[in-house]
Amino acid sequence: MSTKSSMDRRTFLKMTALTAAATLAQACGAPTAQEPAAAPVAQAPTADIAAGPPSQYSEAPMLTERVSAGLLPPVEQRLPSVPEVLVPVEEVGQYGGTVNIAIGNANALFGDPQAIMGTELILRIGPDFSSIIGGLVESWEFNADATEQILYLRQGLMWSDGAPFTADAFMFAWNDLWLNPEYAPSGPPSTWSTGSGASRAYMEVEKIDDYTLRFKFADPYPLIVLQECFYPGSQGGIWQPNHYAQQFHPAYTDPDDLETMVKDANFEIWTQLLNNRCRVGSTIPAQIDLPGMTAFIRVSDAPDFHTYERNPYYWKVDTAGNQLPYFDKVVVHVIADREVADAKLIAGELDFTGRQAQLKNMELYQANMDAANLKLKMWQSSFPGKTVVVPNLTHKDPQVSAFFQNKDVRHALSVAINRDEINEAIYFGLGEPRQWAGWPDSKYYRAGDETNWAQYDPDLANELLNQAGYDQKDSEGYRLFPDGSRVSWVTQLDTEQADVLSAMELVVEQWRAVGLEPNARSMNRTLLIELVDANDVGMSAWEGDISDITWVWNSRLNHPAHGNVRWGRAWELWLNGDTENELAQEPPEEIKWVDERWQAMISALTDEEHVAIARELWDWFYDYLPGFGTVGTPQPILMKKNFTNFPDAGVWGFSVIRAVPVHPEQFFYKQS
Amino acid sequence: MHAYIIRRLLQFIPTLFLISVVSFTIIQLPPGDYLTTYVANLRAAGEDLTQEEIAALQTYYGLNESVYVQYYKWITNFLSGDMGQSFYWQRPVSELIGERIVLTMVMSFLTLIFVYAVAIPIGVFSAVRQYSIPDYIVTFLGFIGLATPNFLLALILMYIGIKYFGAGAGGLFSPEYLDAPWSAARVWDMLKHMVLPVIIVGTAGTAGTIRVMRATTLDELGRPYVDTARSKGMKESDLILKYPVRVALNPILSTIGWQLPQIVSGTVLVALVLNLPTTGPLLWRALMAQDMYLAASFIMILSSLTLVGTLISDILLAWVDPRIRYGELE
Repeated sequence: MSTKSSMDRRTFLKMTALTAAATLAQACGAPTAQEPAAAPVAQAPTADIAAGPPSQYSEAPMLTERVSAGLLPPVEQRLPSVPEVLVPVEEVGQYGGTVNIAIGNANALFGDPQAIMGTELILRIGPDFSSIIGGLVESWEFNADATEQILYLRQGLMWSDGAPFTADAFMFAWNDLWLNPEYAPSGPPSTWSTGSGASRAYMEVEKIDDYTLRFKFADPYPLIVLQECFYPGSQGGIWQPNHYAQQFHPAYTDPDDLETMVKDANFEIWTQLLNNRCRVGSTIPAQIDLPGMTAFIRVSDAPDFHTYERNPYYWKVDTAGNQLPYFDKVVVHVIADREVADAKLIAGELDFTGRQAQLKNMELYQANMDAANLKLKMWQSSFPGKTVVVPNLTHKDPQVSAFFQNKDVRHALSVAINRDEINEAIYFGLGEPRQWAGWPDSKYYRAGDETNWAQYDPDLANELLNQAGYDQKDSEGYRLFPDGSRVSWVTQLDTEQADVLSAMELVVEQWRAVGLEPNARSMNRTLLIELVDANDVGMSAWEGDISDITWVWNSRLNHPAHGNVRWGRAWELWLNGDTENELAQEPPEEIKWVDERWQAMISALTDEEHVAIARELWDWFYDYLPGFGTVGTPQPILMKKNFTNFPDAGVWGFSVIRAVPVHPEQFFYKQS
Repeated sequence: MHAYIIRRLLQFIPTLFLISVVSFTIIQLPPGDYLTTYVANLRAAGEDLTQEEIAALQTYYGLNESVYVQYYKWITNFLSGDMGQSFYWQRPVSELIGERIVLTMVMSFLTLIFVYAVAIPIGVFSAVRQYSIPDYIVTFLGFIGLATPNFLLALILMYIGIKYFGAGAGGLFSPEYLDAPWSAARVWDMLKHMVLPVIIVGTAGTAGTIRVMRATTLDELGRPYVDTARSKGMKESDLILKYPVRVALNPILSTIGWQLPQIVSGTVLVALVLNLPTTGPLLWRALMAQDMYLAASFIMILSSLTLVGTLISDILLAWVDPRIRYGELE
């Protein structure tokens, strides 16, 4: 017999229901974990800038409100005395508007955020997507043998909180961070050094005055400009907001206070706190309260979207004196699933999509463009070969290795590929079947490059294969190795690259038609990279992303050591000096020559010399043909119909930082 | 009863310890670790790290220590509330989980209510009107909901919503309420957006519950006491609700505890597809990136909740069902 000292069922149920309701109400009433930060209260600029002629510049209405409320100084004091003047692509813009874009994962801001918000680097890629022009640095010069570079910063620039931008930003990042063993135990990034292995020497950074810097290298490094206009030249690299970051650095703060700050933020050492508070994602400052030089500054965070607002101290104006940018806000949605991103686009909830837009969805876009109020622009992509096929010439199996190292065989493999079929099947005929070559507007391009061994000629392929000594066939028509086994190898592919997988499926079929027996296998990317490093890959394929800015460092196909999947891993190890490695093999003279000429191209002091050596290497490539390109693709870009100042033609891709070269800060919504 | 509860609570400790070991080990099983994935992705993006930089990162993340050391460090910190750092987000794990947990719980709670509010009456109705047309229809719909993968259902319903009802695509708020402070209008907007996820996740849950309710109610309806009550003149509806349904609720109650971890983790696939800021996608991404501490801490939390939930189930059952209580005393 139980004693009913506890409450009876009805009361229990009532109490549960009430508690649940109360919790629900409370959950809805409680503030979200991270409230949107209040607009940053700007400090008055510390430099004394003489007020220019009144009303020379105009600003956005939302900033005028803050000026009247006393939160910001007037626009003349927020701009440098000589701001950079941008000529809008079509017309002078109108202020206002919010842009909604999507990214795949919260940590990576590459893609559409770069295209809409732009980024500020030491130097810039020019609007022709090939030349280099000044960015934060107005001009630069090299000494006679290119071992020293002097950078002249633009004068009078201010961080987004009003503090002056000077050479101290570089000195702090270099001396206090990169040369600090706690922050960088293995030293600064190799970008800022010359030589390799034991002879690696980092540059010296010297401050000549507040707006002038000197970089000194042990060896000539004229191509450092290609790094300074790319990812290494961004905030978080060799320049940081020193006035802000110093509060997290033990040399500038009381160590006990710093310790407390670190513990309160749930970190263990100050480097973690500093990296978190000064976090930059894909060259864009990506932390709330972090000062930046870009047109937009992050103001709020939530698990599935971030908000960016205009930078009141942005240092560019248009030809009519309006302070840029025109957009008020950019909302970046984090959408893991591409289908959902597409759904949002056709529902009209996204205002711009570049990176997420795929050629295979063209039908979907066309069908819904009017309903969603969008327009389409077709740019070139930075994929002159969307899929590049990379055989492993240093294959561990000597028969396969001998097969791939035969030049006639490689020519045959290339002409046996039906690039038109790939183009029609995967890209709806919108791509361009071509051999691996730069696009026509690249400075490395010569007419006819893309036609080398790009024709579809299975008869020629058969002839070449016979000529190469693989004319013995078995009863089913498959060619045989000298030892009587079928000519067969495994192609390992990355599961994450869907159209590479589709393209290789077709290529494998086309090669079977000339009597070869390749087998394709897709696998996890990490695993594939491990296999590549261990030289256990038979053949692979990858996206071929190059531009005039990145080709020298990562040509994807022209050098045995370039690319995520490479055609000469064993030779690469030997060339890197790792001759003791059991995987390393001494390369033939031809390959050693390629490496030597490549180094000479990098150290060439004039552009003419540089391009001349590059042409030597391209001409060699079309004869040796270590790997093959298939189809070059355009990039569809969709945006709202009233999105203005976006050029009709351009190059989209990682290796040109998307639309950054055409100044995203001058895009605007036209309100007619 | 009290002794029983205390004994169960004590049993938690070895169980949780075993779970922590197993979950930590399993996360280490795939080849490589967070760093190899990170390097592979860096390389794919065109950047690369030298061997020294990789070695430095390994020390920084503590990945070059032995598994035992890593485990020991993690478990000792965990017990004091510090769940470690997420490599991928570069933020404390507790912060990451904390900022999503409220929304996840609200959504899962609503789903739970939806499931039971829909499934129980339908199950009872199905049993009472066995083999009638409504019974068949309801059963059919229930099985469709069970058979269709949740994420597919999510995509289909979302597409229908966009095409024919002009509804938004995923997410929990309309664009105008994204950044706004909490207000009644914002709550209403959120509830409107929650309808779709709740229905989708609920449909799969209702199917099972309907069948269970139907079966157990049918069992009870055949019992002698039901005939007795009828012959005594009790109204049919009162009769059904007062006696057979209460007994039939037993299996439902016994599994209610398992809903607790469900409430915290939300459902991963549907949340991914519908782009909801809940903890499910957080766990998925942690596992994909081999983000050791985030994944292991999350699984520990879920496991603890499962154990607690099972205990609550047992207590509830004992309390609701006199047979179990009296059975103990014999």
